[in-house]
Amino acid sequence: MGEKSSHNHARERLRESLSAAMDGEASELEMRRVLDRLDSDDELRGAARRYQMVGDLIRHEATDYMGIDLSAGIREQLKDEHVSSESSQNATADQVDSKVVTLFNRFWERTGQVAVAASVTFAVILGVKQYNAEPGTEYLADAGSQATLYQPFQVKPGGYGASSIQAGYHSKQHSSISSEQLAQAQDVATRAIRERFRAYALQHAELSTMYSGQASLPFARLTTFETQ
Amino acid sequence: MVEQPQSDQHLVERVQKGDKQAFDLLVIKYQHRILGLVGSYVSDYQEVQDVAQEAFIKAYRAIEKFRGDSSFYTWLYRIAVNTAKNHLVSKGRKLPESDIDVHDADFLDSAASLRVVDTPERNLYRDEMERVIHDVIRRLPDELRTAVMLREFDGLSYDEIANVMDCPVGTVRSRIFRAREAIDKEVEPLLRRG
Repeated sequence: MGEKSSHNHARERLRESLSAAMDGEASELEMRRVLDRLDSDDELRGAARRYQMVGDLIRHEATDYMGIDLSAGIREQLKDEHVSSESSQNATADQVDSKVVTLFNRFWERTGQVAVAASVTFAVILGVKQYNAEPGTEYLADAGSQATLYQPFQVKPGGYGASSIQAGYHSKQHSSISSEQLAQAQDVATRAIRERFRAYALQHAELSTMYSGQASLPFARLTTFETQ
Repeated sequence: MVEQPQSDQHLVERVQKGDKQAFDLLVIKYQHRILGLVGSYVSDYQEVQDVAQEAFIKAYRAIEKFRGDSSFYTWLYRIAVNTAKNHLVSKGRKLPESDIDVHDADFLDSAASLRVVDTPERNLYRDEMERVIHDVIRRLPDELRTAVMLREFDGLSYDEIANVMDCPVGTVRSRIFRAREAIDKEVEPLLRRG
């Protein structure tokens, strides 16, 4: 029940941010949060449309097309287009972050489990590769075909009466990972970690504002974090 | 008509830097005005939507050229008028004799001057919506009603409303939001009913 209540509170705060954003009165962080969500949150999009429509109706400016929504069609049509100005190449870190967060959130929503499995696999491969680089690795023979499993594990006596287990996967494919590819993978992983942490920090800031009298402080902390 | 050149400029700059979601919000803000405008040139209901959509697409593709000399809406307005006229020419139809002065775009009362495809059903629907909204506004507490009317009807900024109402800007923001939510509670079911 408490969780539901805090969820409702978070949604209410998001809608308040939307209301301010529609009036051009939202802070930069709020604007980013609203725009990030607008793409995937139908309920928020609906609220945005209704806020605008209500304003038109209050001013008696509503047209006969007030039930029409072109935005979905336009989004679809512009999906693969980019603004081709120089400024787009010089996008600020804010916009880049904003896009990365959106993509990142979608990615984690849909492929979280796959990513975890892939990470574990990758770690195992790296471990084995490192092991291979060490002298005296007589457990692994030169592979004649790719993805062939040689001696999946070998138990050898260890100290203190315990046994150590060593994995023994080897393939040409794995051993041909270049340092460039490795650096790329590390870069992607670092960015993913950073963005995930940022998403957590943002979520934390939102929740903190609900339970704190000094509502702006968590966002201030977050801003400090983002500038680092 | 309430114009928000500053807030639009901020969104436009975001779009120029590649933020498509910012353009999405601009579409949501202006689609009905543009539809109404195009509807004054093109009579077919479906064609109006196609032309309006084309106008937005053109605006997006040209947005790097927008320098903020006029308001975004004025600029978009010109694109929409040209797109509508081109559409008429391409269909071999006659262009309207009188034109709406683009310099008046910021002050254009779209409902009064452009409504040409009214049907009794649409009129009824719009009137019903207006009635419900104004009824809710009448029932709002004074401070919420004043805040939302100063914003929506008079187009005042939050700072200006805070001065008028002698309260903090955060309170203004909260009052406007609460008023909108109260209205939305009544409007949403009506829209779903269609």
